[in-house]
Amino acid sequence: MEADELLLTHVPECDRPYAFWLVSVPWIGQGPIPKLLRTFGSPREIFECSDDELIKGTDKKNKLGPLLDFRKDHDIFREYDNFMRSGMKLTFVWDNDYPKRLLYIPDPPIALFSYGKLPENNKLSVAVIGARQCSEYGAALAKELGEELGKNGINVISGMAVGIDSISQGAALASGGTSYGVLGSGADICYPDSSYGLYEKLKKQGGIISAYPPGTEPVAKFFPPRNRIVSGLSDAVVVIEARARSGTLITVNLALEQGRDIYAVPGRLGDELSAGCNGLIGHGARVYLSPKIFMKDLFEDHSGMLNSDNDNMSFAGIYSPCAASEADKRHREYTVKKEPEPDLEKGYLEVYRELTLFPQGAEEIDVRLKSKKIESPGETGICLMLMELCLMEYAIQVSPGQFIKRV
Amino acid sequence: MFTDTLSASLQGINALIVHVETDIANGMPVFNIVGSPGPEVREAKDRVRSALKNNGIFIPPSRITVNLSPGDLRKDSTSFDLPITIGMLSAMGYIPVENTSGILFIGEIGLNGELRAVRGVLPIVMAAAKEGIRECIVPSDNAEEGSVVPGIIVRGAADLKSVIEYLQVLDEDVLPQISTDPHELFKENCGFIPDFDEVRGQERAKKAAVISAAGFHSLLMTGPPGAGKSMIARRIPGILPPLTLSESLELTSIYSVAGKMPKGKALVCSRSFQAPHHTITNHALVGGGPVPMPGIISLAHRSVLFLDELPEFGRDAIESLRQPLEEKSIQINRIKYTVDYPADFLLICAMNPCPCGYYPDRNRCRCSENEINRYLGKISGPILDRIDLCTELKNVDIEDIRGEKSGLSSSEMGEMVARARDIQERRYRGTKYRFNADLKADDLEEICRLGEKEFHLMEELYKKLCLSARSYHRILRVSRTIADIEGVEAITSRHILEAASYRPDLDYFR
Repeated sequence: MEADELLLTHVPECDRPYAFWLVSVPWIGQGPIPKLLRTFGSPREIFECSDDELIKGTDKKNKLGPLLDFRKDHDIFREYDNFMRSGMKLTFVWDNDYPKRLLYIPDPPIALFSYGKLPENNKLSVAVIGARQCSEYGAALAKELGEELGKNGINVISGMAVGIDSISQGAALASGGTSYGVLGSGADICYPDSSYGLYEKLKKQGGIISAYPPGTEPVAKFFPPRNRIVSGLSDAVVVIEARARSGTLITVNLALEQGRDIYAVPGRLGDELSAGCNGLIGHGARVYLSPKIFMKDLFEDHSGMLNSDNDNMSFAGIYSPCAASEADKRHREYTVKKEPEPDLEKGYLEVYRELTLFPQGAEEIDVRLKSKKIESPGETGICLMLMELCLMEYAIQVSPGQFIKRV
Repeated sequence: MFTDTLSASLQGINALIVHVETDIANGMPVFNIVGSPGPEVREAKDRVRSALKNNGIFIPPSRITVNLSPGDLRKDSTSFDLPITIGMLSAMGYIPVENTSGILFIGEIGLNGELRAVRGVLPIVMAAAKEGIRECIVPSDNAEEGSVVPGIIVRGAADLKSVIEYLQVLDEDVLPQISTDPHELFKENCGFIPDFDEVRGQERAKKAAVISAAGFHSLLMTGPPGAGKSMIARRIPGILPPLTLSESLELTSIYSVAGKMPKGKALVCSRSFQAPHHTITNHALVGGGPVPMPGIISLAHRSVLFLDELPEFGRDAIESLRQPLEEKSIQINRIKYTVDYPADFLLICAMNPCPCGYYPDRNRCRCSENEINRYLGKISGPILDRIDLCTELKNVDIEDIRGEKSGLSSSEMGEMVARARDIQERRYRGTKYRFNADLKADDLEEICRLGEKEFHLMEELYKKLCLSARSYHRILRVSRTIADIEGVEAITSRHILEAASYRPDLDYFR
């Protein structure tokens, strides 16, 4: 399904207050707007209809209430004026700078409220999503991926949530890249509070995007429609850590509907936090192996888009679901080399090899070394080596006695 | 007629000699006690009257005035019953006045004339000995406790009758002198403390316990429920060096003042283990009350104070530990006076890493980031600053439980502690310090002198681990102790790294 022709009809500048009125109330998804536009024509024509006419013209009768109340209680011209002075940007679906990718998803948001920039059409974008309560493993991978994407000029799109979302976005910004945060509240409300630092940075080094008018409180029902924008703005979706039943998988379903490629980070079997990801792989999602392999695939699949200088190229060809599965069938050869092991003294190397992205204490490494018949320097000895590895930046101490490998 | 009898009143864990002056004069028959008596002392007149009547002694109808001097010192103790009675009897001429001179009396009297045990006998007898008083007569239940003080005769009396009989003729056979050798008492009286060899695995936590005991560093253990945090804490008193006699006397004074002396014991001979529940109020923890009594931290003097479930403790209770941790004693102020109770305790804390207890094992822990932060946030700040060591316990492997390797036993760990203690004693003789944990920043440089290589390592740690000046000093202090345990003078990189691995200021707690 493609964007409704009607929605794309340009609305003249002077009619924008009327359009602003249509989106001044937070709708879940599109609400009654497409129906109204189809029945009554332009926003101005809708505005000029009486309450009764409007209610008759839509089948969602009881849902028009807030919209009609707004018209009654406020002077929409003044409200629009105030809004324009607030510094927030409003982009309608018929505007030229509306992100092209969104035009090809079912139900494109009629308006985007934003701070900062909107994602460029000719730049690759990747959504990195995952569990809020992530493990050290997920956190380390999210950071690594965010950094690599940032360095390679690929936009990172995510929802600013605690955990994987904010870690990957923060890493992308820290490495000098750009990132966009799509919110389930008004763009002027930072949710969650703990991401405030990220929120401010995103305004400068990327953008904050929301389909909801300013002042909208973050309510659970607003989040799933938000997720369709996260995936809609991206060329591929990487899932790092998801439980078997999780909100992340809602985003994945929406992304599949939109024909986006899904990459899942494999986890250990029996690890609840990776059950969702492993399940996705079982259902045919692509396996995320490393930032390099991932980016190689991404550049290959989207070479057409990157080579074209023309801003108005056809996204339809790339994003139809059948095109995506076509790309999936393409044979791939991995030529990325294995990372060389660090140059470490004997003894240290053995301990380093035992480190993973899952937190471990000295006693576990001791047991593993012994089971491999490697001479172990004892728990205290291993602990000292781990501290030294931390200093050499090969390991990280995550809690009083637990260490992970640094990626 | 006027008489002067000796007694004493407690002031913190010290005692002050009180003169009980009794005057019997003609006039309206009244019985007045003056000299700032508390309610317990005011009630004494009824007890004394009944006890005398029940022992067949008739009080003539006259004006009886008892003055407790110094008069401006508040007296709150039932131990004045005996001196008041003796004062009256000698004023009545029932007992020769000269026979009571040079004797200090303490004891509560029952209505039948029986003498009952009172608090604070040891400090009172010590004060008496210091004042040069010849002998003390105390309730027989307290006699052994009092008799450990050298240079003073202590007699224990079971009832009023025997005291009167003794004083009438000064017959040694009626109230024989109780004499005990404190060293003997000390030997036989040591309590039972479980042994560390019952703790399977947990090698690092046990090492942390040794470091903590050796340098008197406070220790925080985190870990899931059932990993053995309390088990380890409970065994720490057993690896501290045995109490010395002077420490034991000090502890006995505190216990005696608090009325917490174990029944039938004259001395506190082993280091105690105080583990208050987390609902404890700050007064119960640090001491207080209308008549300031020692709190749990003073009972844990020279011993272990174990706070299990640290984040569950009230903020006030935790905050009130700050002064005693710095000054090794706690001051309790009242308008007219201030008491000082010693509180030099080894702080051992335990906590779960999150409300459910399983973080960072995300397969079991479902706590949200916020919940975890809120939980850990409860202990952040000043108290965390005063904790030198932090270690994490994990659930033990089944092989460890079945017990192939039991690891270190208490006696082995005790030896390590003793070695480090010896070195510290020699090093700090004549200084204001006792242990490495007390070291202040200005002396650290001198005592924890680092070589070129070690200095570079510290520099690197400081930068890479984003240490603060405080945690830098903390690592130095702990590495000093680790070197002392090994019996070496120079601090090497190994000691520093080990100390750094126990540092409590991880991002984790912020």
